[in-house]
Amino acid sequence: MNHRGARSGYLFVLPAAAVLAFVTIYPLCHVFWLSLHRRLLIFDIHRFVAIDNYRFLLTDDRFLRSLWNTVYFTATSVTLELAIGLGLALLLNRTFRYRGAVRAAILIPWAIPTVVSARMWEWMYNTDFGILNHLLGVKVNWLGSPFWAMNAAVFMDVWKTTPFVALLLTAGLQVIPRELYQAASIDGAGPWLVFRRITLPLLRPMILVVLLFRTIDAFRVFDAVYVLTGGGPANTTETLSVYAYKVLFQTLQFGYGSTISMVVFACVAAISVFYVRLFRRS
Amino acid sequence: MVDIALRGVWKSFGTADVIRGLDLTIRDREFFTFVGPSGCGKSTILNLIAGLEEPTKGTILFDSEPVADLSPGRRDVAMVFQSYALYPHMTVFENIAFPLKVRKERREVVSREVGRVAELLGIGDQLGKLPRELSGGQRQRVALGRAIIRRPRAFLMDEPLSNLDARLRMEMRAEIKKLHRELGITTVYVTHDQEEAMSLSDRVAVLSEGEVRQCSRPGELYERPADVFVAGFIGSPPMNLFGARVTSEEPFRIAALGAVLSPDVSAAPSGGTVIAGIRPEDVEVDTRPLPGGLEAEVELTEPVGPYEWVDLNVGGVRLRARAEAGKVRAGQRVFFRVAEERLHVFDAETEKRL
Amino acid sequence: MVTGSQKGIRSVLFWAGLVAAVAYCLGPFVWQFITSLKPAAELTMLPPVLPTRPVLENYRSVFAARPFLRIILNSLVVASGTTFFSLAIGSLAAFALARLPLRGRHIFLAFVLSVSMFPPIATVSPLYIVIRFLGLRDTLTALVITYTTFSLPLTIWILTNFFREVPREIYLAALLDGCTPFQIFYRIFLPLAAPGLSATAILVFIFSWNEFLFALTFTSTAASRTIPVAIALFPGVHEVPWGEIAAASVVVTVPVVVLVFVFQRRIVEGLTMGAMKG
Repeated sequence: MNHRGARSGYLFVLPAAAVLAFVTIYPLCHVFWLSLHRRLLIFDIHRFVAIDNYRFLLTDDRFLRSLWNTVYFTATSVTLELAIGLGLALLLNRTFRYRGAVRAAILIPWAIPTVVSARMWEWMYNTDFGILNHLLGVKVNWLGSPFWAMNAAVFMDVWKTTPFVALLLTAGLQVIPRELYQAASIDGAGPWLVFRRITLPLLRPMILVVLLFRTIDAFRVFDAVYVLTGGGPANTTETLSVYAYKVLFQTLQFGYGSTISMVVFACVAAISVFYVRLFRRS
Repeated sequence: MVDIALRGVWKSFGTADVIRGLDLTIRDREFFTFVGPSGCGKSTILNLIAGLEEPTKGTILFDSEPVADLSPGRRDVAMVFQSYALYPHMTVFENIAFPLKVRKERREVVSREVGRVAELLGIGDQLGKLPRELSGGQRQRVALGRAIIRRPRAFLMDEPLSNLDARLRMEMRAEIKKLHRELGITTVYVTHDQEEAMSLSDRVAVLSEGEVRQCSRPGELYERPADVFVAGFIGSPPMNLFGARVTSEEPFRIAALGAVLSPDVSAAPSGGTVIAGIRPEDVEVDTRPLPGGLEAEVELTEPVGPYEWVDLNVGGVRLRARAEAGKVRAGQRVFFRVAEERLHVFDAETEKRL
Repeated sequence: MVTGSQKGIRSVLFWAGLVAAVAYCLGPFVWQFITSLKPAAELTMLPPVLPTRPVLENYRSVFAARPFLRIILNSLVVASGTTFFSLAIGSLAAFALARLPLRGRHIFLAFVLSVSMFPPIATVSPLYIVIRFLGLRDTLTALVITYTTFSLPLTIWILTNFFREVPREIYLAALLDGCTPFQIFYRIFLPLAAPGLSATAILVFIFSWNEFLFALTFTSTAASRTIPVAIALFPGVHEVPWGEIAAASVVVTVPVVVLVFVFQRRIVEGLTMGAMKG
């Protein structure tokens, strides 16, 4: 088409491009730059140390621990979200009278701030006064024992984000033509077979999209862990983002903190590339 | 009111040449139609004239002024799209008024003009409705209204009637013809329906694969098609085309359909065979012998009211003819006569008219 | 063949499943609401599950003893501002990407998509330095700028898809009617994309309302603090004031519930549109 249209096109995109570049590209470069320095913010220590920070990472037990925590958190929460979400989606797939209200009700955990959700669950997980212990008739120290704390955090995150997964999968289910199910029932296929041979394969693209979003989100997790456990007890639930944040804003080591941040960025980028490749192949 | 000249216009998309070497002039006030099968590039020509696409080669001139530098909005042409392209969120009034509003006309002027146009098109009582509340024919009129209101230099119409049912199409055809007579604006029309082209236009250009095969008045296209493609495309039902052997060059005689025929030709064929054509309406059929008496067997009949189209089997060659209703039956042996003066002959190699 | 009793069982299972799902999702809120009505003494006693005499003292102290109203206002201002700017900037870009001839369109879209995958933690340190340098620490402006940026990918993604659905011929018709691209954007495409705009607005608003990391980093006093930060940092001298936290949570959740119930369809539209075309 004509070049006159093109010129105004660039103008239209300019504000967005400018904002995005300034608030994302520039900081990314700066973070990388910082990660190569030793910089303590208030004390004006500012020294170039090349990859010393990165070398230190490999020996930093706390870093390795947080890496493991993050991986564990991501793997378990995404798996659970997918399973429960799929169940919810199958349930919601038909039209029934209060569908809109049910959908709205299910959306609420997703819609509230993670912080509010964390505080809510913190209260429910309370060892002495928490409703959970009361209903189960036990006295587990959910947030105080290393094993339970991590899983408590996982469960809370699953509770909060499953609706999002369920919603997307519902949309994916609705795209599957009804005739396929009808043909299958005429052929005498049972529900499990239908699920495995028709539903699941046709849902695959949407599942991949959901997995992509949720894996990345889980890996970046900050709000939930920071507020629910603060990374404790004794850093056993500390994820990468939480660790980085503490290094940055509690010890004010902007150099090393940036290094950890870069690791998070690199991992997320790798995950994206992995999923995009997987998507291309389907 | 404008002359539109296309000089050596080529348009390619990537490696595909959609328009090849277009060279013609649409005269001021003329109703000019481009007709051809789907995919032959007709819509592209409209886009080129409107400025929505740029020619790969060649120039387009309005009244001898090249328009390459003018944006679509400044060429002062109006276009009616196949899908009407009405603004869904605006009422009929607002749709028709839009071109004037863009030009910042005063409200009284706008009201008056919209009223005038709506009256002209018979949609005066629809002004408050939204496009989705209208029927196909009404939407068509709104689209026309939006085009007319600006009094543009030229109208471009891209298969505007294709989405209508058969009866509406006839009605709207008459409307468009009437409009053209009243407004006298140069109109460039595009369609795949040759009947439409023939009934509406002052001149028709028959397109095939991006090339103009013939450009003349409808009568000329019907009586003297320039090549086999035009012959087979114009006229409904299509012309019968069959191979014939040249038995004598001077006087020109060919052997076909079990007889020797003497058509009128103005050039010599390049080989010993030619392609001959005769329109179904020029083939007479009767149960009693006819002068020139050729025989054939009736394969099937298609009644269309006062007469029927009869498919004849002439020694293996299928020939369509016309007979009075009810005169013949399938399976019957009948007599037919070919009007020699109505025979068309084409060169077997070039497919051009002889 | 499905027998009558089989259908009956299936139906019961279905409704049981629905009830379980809704209970799973709303249960914690119900408990939080109950908690907020308990007087301080009863908070630490279980049973009784329900308060013997429901009180409103928790709510009162939340608003009286702390500047909670100011904090709600802050969140409102930030969320509204973000929504406005994100939609304004994003819709312009989306229109260009959908309809105008633009070279490098795919690259830009890919770039926009990749921004949405940025871990916020990776950008928080340099942004903090810049904001401190610009003297924007502890201001709402800093938050609006940051949130607008990070919500742009979602906005652009959803709106580009909505704009693409407007038939090309409408764009061409408007061109021929004499409109400039901006007029086409403003008079035709924006009105036609209204459902997309509202879906996006809600999603951006929710995102902005809930954001925590940047708010925590860039703000330090109640002058610019937003709700998530306030709830996270509820101070308690000797013990955590669970009753007040519960009250604050309820106060914050109620508008969200209303929003979700009213706009439920739009939200779903926006989310699934964003995912489907992804």
